[in-house]
Amino acid sequence: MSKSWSVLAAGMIAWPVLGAPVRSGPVEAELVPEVENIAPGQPFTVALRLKMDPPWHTYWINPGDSGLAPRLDWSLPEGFSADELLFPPPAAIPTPPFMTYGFENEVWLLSTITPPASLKSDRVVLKAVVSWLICNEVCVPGSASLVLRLPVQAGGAKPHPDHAAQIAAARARLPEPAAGWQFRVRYENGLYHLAVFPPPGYAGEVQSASFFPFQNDIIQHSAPQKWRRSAEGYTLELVPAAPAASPESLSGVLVIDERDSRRALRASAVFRRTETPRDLNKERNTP
Amino acid sequence: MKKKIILTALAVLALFGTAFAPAQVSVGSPAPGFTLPDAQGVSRSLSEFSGKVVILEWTNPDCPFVKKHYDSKNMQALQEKYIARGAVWLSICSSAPGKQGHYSAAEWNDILGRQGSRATALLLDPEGRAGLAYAAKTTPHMFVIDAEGTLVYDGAIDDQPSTRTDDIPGAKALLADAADAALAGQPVPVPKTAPYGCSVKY
Repeated sequence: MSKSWSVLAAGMIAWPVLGAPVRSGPVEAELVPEVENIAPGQPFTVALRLKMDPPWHTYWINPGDSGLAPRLDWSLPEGFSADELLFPPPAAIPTPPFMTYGFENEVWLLSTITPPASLKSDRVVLKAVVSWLICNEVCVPGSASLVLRLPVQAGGAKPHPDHAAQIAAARARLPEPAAGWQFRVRYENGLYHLAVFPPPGYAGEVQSASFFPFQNDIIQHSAPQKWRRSAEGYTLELVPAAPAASPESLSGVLVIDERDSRRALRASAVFRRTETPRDLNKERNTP
Repeated sequence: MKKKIILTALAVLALFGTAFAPAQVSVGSPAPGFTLPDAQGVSRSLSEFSGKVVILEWTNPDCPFVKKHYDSKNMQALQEKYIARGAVWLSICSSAPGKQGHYSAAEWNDILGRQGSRATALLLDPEGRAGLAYAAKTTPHMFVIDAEGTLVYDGAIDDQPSTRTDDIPGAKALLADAADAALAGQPVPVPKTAPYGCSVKY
């Protein structure tokens, strides 16, 4: 956003902190800040809240066999920067005979915004255009222009009385870095075997798990995933996608169900070169 | 009674076990054959085009991703270009009865006229047989079959998964690259990509 806009905006009187939710078709979209005011140089989180009328759904970063993830394009004042949008783990939403990954009801996507340390104005206007594809039996693209007005106070950012807790809850739903967990992957008998080793001293019991790959074309999304206990940990069996590409690694989100809790871990494992289907094909074809 | 149960079980199996399971097609293998009626009611088979490069386009005229490529005339331009160069272009609609994009042959003739489609033929696949044989996931989902009948491309029309026509000019034309290679008898540079779009309405 241009400087003149900030100056113009600063001259106006009514300053609700929030932009109102915008309704477009079956979607209500809103920018929700974790702070009541911002401070120069102090990063803060803004949520993009998408509320979807049942039974419509939007999509994860990797939508699976069809669909498209929502996209947020910021128009920020000079010197501001926004980090990429962070997504919670998706739900598996079947579109028989295929599978998609997405969100029903409501989803909070998070972005961290950093204002410049040299910020002088006492109010800022953050603008963004959110565009999405929403599907039910049919798919409809949509978009909304969203505005967030926030006061600036040099003394420091102040948490918003309601939204700070909501955003903390949304952050807690994001996939964890999986500290202490180890992952290995190999190709054997037509399947990818993702070995999952809990951290030493892990007292939990993983009862089931599902893996959502970041790569779109690495596994058959619709194929069942088989979770079983192995000698040192667990193994999740995944059905590879048609092996035209030889994957270097497998990465995604592993959602594990423990006795009474659910956790999402960021999981990544490197294939040993000879363990991908394409390499095996090559070996077969080479006399 | 017992016989009836078995028959029912077989019917269920046929419906969900066989017919409703997508095949694992792989590039580099022979393209699965099919015989489907076109919008004129004429039965068309893949085998009648042997010796030619064949481009398959899964379509649903009500899908916003399909509209992106027809409203911008991108799809029609590709159809015209590759047919002029000797390829065959088959648009296939696998929308089931009652689902979005399912139209009669007569309705399809109107739609094709409105779209200004240049496809060689529009094939009706309401039972999804051809769709599942190719594991067609999205509309559009594109395939290229070379002159020897080998599947040489399976994937997206381009690398811009969006519904915005503005994204077309700057997109990497994945399908065109594959068709160019197939027509030149060269290996396709990127034989498999992730298709994007609406789900096929099986």
